Amino acid sequence: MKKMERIDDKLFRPLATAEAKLVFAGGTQTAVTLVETSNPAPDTARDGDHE
Amino acid sequence: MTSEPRAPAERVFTLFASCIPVRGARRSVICDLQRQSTQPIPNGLYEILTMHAGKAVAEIKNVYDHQYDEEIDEYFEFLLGHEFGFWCADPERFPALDLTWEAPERITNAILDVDRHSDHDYEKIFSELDDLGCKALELRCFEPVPLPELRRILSAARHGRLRSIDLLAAYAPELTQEALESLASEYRRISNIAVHSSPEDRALPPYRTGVTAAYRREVVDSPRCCGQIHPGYFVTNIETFAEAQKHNTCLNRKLAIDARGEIKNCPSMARSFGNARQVPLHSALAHRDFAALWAINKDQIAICKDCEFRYVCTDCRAYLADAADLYSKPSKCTYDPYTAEWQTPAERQTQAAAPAPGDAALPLPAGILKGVS
Amino acid sequence: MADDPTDPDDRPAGNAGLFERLSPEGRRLVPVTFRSLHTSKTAEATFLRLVESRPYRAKGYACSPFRKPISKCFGTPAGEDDV
Repeated sequence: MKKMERIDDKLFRPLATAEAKLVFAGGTQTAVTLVETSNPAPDTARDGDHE
Repeated sequence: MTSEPRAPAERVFTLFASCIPVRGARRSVICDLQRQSTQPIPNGLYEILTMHAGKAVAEIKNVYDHQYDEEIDEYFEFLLGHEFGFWCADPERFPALDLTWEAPERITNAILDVDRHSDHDYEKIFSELDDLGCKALELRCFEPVPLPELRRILSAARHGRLRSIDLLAAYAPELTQEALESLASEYRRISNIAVHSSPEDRALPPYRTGVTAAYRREVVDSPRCCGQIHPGYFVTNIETFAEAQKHNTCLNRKLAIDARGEIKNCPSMARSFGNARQVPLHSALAHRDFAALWAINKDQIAICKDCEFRYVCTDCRAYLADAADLYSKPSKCTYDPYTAEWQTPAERQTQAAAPAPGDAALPLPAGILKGVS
Repeated sequence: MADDPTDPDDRPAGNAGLFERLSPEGRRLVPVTFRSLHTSKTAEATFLRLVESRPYRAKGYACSPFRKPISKCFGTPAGEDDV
């Protein structure tokens, strides 16, 4: 066995059952990433899902 | 052929703190605690992510004498593609998660078993579970319970602190889809309903309130059915992963009351700490041995400690490969971490037909616990 | 908002120097990266609220929900063995 195996080997396929059951049932998801920001006067009365 | 990663040479690859690599004997995994997924990876990649964390790609390739340049490029493309991490110049600004596990509740979860001979004082039990802070309950009915009786039981839990009730019910024709929906809407603490011994396997569409329900053909007629280990019972989230570092993810902060009312760590275990009709739950919990098994974590269990799934697996301490060894692997687990293979269903059935040495209710032998006071 | 989190050089200029824009109190907090698990229209606004409320939340604690099976009685989940 090579020390660095190819990542596309079937051994490294995702756990299909667990994923389908718990995570991605809603279809493809795209991540959005934000690193940091700052607002000196945040409005905490609202949140992003309830504008 | 893959292209050179586009990151400037001085940048290093950093995993998101919620994406944690775990090494196994044959392969490793990345546990993404936010997305609740477990992704297998080669042990070579695990080594890069841990031993060589903080090194630039060129430096890593040098370490391996440029024998695996192509594979290493593929690894980083894979990690980026699956959004497990990012390139950055200042990895020290992204510290690891603190995996300390604490819970304010003395008991977080409980099992209450019911069969036709059960004579539980439901009000008393739920009230005492409340006092212990219990937030999740599984009500397991091994035999059909008439709907009015089911309603009576659920009504007893109506005013407590329980946040969720998982209902495992035995099939009866009156348990129609509409009846289940009505139960779920009437008793809002219900979060999941599974009807075993059904004529068919059928998952119902999730209710508007998020409750899930399913009919299952599989027969669950006694506690002996419990203890199954397979990916469907793996849990990849921060609470379980953190708990698994030091605790047993099945028994920790669990209290069970079997169909006869006996207070136990788990209904499949033989040892009782008293009957719930006579003994208050908090008295049983105060017994010196009650919490002894809570501290058996996967890093202490033979074979499991070499398994890449050890922090997402919810274990079983009742049915053991070696009934005399509290630190042996669950007898119903068919995964071999040394080959990364699961037994096929046929192989499993063959094994199930033979008497399994650990497939017996396990007493808690005194004095054989390692490192448990 | 970075469309492509994988390449810091491709980020829109609006995200540059975010650390420098933090308040002194915010700078003392351990930096974190937020990722959206949803593709809702309000995802960006959610992020901004999360970031902005960190100085307040950092002083509190979260009481974890209970998210694991209590017992494990079914041996045959649909799609099993596809590992």
